[in-house]
Amino acid sequence: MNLARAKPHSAFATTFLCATVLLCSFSDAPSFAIPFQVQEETLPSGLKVLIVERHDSPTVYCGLFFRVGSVNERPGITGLSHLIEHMMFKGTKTLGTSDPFRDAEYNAAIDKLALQIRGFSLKESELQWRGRALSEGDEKKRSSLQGEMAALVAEQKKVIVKDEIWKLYLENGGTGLNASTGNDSTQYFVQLPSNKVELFFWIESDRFQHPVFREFYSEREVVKEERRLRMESAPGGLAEESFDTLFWGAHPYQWPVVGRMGDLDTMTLDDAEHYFRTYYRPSNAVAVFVGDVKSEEIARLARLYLGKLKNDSIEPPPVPAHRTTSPGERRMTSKTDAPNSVEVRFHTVARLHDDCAPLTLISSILNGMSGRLHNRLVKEKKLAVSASAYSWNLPYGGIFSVTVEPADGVDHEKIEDAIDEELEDLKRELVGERELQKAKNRRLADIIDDYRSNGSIGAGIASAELFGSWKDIFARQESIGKVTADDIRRTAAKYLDPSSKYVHYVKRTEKGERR
Amino acid sequence: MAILASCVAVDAIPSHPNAIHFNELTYNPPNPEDFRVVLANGTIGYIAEDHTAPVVEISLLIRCGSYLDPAEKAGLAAMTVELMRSGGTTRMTPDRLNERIDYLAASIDTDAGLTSSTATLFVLSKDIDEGFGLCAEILKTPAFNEEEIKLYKERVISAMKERNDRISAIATREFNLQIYGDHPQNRYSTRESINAIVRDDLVSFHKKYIHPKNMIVAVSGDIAREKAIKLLEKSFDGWESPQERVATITAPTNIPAPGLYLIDKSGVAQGSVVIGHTGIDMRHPDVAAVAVMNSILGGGSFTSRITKKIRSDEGLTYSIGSSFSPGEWYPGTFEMRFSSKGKSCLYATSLAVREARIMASDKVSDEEIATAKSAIIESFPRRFTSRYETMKSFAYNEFVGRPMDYYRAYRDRIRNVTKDDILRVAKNLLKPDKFVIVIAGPIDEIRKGDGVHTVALDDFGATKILPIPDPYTMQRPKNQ
Repeated sequence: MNLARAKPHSAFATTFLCATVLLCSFSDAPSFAIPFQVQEETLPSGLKVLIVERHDSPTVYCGLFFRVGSVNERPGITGLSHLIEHMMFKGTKTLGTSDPFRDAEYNAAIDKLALQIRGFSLKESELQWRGRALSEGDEKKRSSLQGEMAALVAEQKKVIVKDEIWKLYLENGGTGLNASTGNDSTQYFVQLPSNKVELFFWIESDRFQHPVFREFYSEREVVKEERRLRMESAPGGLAEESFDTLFWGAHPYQWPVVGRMGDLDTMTLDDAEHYFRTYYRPSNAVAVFVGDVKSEEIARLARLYLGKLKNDSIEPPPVPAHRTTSPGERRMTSKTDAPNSVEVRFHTVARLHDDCAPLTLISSILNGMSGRLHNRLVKEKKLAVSASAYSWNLPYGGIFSVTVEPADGVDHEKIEDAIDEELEDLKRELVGERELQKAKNRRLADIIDDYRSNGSIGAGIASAELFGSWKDIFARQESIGKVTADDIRRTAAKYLDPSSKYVHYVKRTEKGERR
Repeated sequence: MAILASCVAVDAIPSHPNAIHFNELTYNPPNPEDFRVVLANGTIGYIAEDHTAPVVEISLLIRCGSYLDPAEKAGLAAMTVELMRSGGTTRMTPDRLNERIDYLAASIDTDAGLTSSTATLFVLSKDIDEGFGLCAEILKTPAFNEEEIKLYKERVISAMKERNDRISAIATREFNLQIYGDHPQNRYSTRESINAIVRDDLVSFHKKYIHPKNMIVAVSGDIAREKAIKLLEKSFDGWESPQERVATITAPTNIPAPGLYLIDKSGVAQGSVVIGHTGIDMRHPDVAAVAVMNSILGGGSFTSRITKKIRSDEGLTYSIGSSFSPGEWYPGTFEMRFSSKGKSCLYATSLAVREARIMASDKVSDEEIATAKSAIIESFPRRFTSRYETMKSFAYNEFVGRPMDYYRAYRDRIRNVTKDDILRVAKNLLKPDKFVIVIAGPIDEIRKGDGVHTVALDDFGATKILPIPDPYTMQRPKNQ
């Protein structure tokens, strides 16, 4: 026993919290309760485990969430967090191959060829800037390398056990097996029958300790197809990407989670392995189990499978602050094959900021069939076909946005004026008691709805824990109830300032018009 | 020593997931008879109590949909059903109604489909009486406010512009047209048909089809069963129903012409592909074998052949899958769908067609059938985690005439499927020579191919290039 060793994290801390929030001071005020209890365990490696027992149905939501996303990337490797998410399904030293040794040899040989081919592609790209092309000799060399690589890839298939992780989960009754990458986190989850939970521990502990990024180059092509599907073939997708870049400026939120095509074309296996080692650390992760489990059994399995992970105490690189200073009003117009629309955006605050609650309620006041946008822009003034707002607070920034689809024949400028007017109204007049209460009621009912199923509870508490504490959910609920009409007016004035707005006009290209 | 040995926990990590010992899980699905009730007026209901959250949800499934639209008034069902919600009631103006529903933080939604429509209520349990009352009012005494009708028409006509924005929508629409031909499934509203609809049409449609005898109700939430029954019976009390039973949808008579159908949309990065033909209906004796076969071919995500080959191996697509959906009232379709960058569309299509041919000629492997059956059977409990979803499933089963023991017998039907069964149904029902293949995307790119694989348009049968219809009239331009 090494007495000099630092005290280990508590082996098993149990925190029960059953939240009952009573709203007061308004009549008709509902009282809400989110009835679930969360138990926490922190492993020596720093990995947090959250457990919620719910025994209605013999199923369990299992999740493993990492604090890594597009915000951690840089130009050159945008989209890498998401590509790694794909790679995490390709297997490990044990899963996905019948011969790990040969498989490793193939991977190394294929990567070597890929880098050489990449060299030619980069050279070609340089030449293209000057209106030139690769020499015939270089083209031949590249083709030959591509042929060699294709042959190795075909040969390697003999030692690959295709998609074994998928097979194991699915044949054991896994549903909703998937993963998702966002600006700030990457999430891996599945719902399993309650007698199969140990499978999650086996697979997850294996793939996060011994992943093998085999089939890297074919999967990179899949991700490129995903970008084409979500962004390039989707109406208005590329226009939206440009507007995000304008809005965020130098901030790492400026590039899409799926990444820029140029980066997807050139990122390497080495980039991926380095990025994985940097961010996929137990201290950077939260595991969550919601459903028909016994917390002692989950704790036992956690200690067995994940207890020996090292806490290397290395902090991942910090996210560059890049706070946007107000440069004045900015606008752009996109002409594309998409419905006409006007979007007005403002920079607001990050999650857990005190002003999140009033900003959320402003969007509630504007939204809905009885909301201001629908009543005034659609019904009264007949300017719009639809209109809505949202407030989104991320770990490193926030957006308030209003989007309106004009009615036929209505100018974009007129729509923008109407939006400005609505926002001015919020600053000029105190919102009425009833209207504010209505917004609170809706927001609080949404929260109840958000925490009804195993999956939504699991995702909710794990996300909250990644960037603070799962208890923040309850604090957030409480803060909604406390917002006053003054808060609404104050935050509208502070953040929804027309002198620093970002405006996007999307104009549908008419038939015959050149795009 | 012996004492120490017996204290050592046998906690070792198995060498492979297949070596993990799992406890047995015995699971029996909920019994529809335990939840079913015949209300005083004859309407069927399925009611489940669920006190895990202070909310109540109701779904009313109505035998009414766009199949009942008169041809010259296509869009009538959708308009009637939508305006029931947005057009106010005889007691409350649209504004007052919307305000009250929003203030209660409830939601009442109505939606019309092809063969059925739904009205749903979400309300906090403390407001169940009022929420229920408003929902019933909307269904029973809608006002069809003229201003709201006008707004709806403007919105719907304006949205028609978007019909040709997405390649997947264009491809799906063309595929259904080629398969089902002139049939309500392929009837689209037009500017003309929408403008032709007047308030009286909505009133008649509502009177004819929206009534208790034409509904099945599903209720779940923080409400006692007896109270739910009482509230439902109170709402239906005195609500007259016309005597004539609503007809079900007619079967299509079209005989599809196999071949390749291309629709040009330039400037997009991908082509959207649908490959398939007519399938089976829910009463077909081989529904279970078809389900297992489809799971192996393309319905089982990464355990499926086309996903493994075309996405995982070749990297040609992101989203891919197949379906062999048994139709409710007439045969559904077999379909394989994916999108891929223009130049690899044809090669990817050839791979998909090849997999279908192999399925129709060779027995599947022991491993594949075991995985497919196990996936379906082991995931069975997950269908019933939500009481609300379960009640809706029971209501739907009764609506389409499935037997009461449908879920009870489900796993056994799957278990009994053999490799021989799969080959038999594949030979009988999977016909690559009859494939209708639709690709919507940049034809020039698609035609060029990837420069590596020799795949020509002719490989897929007769090729037709179809012009995109005018979104307001859904007519194809005469000259190209």
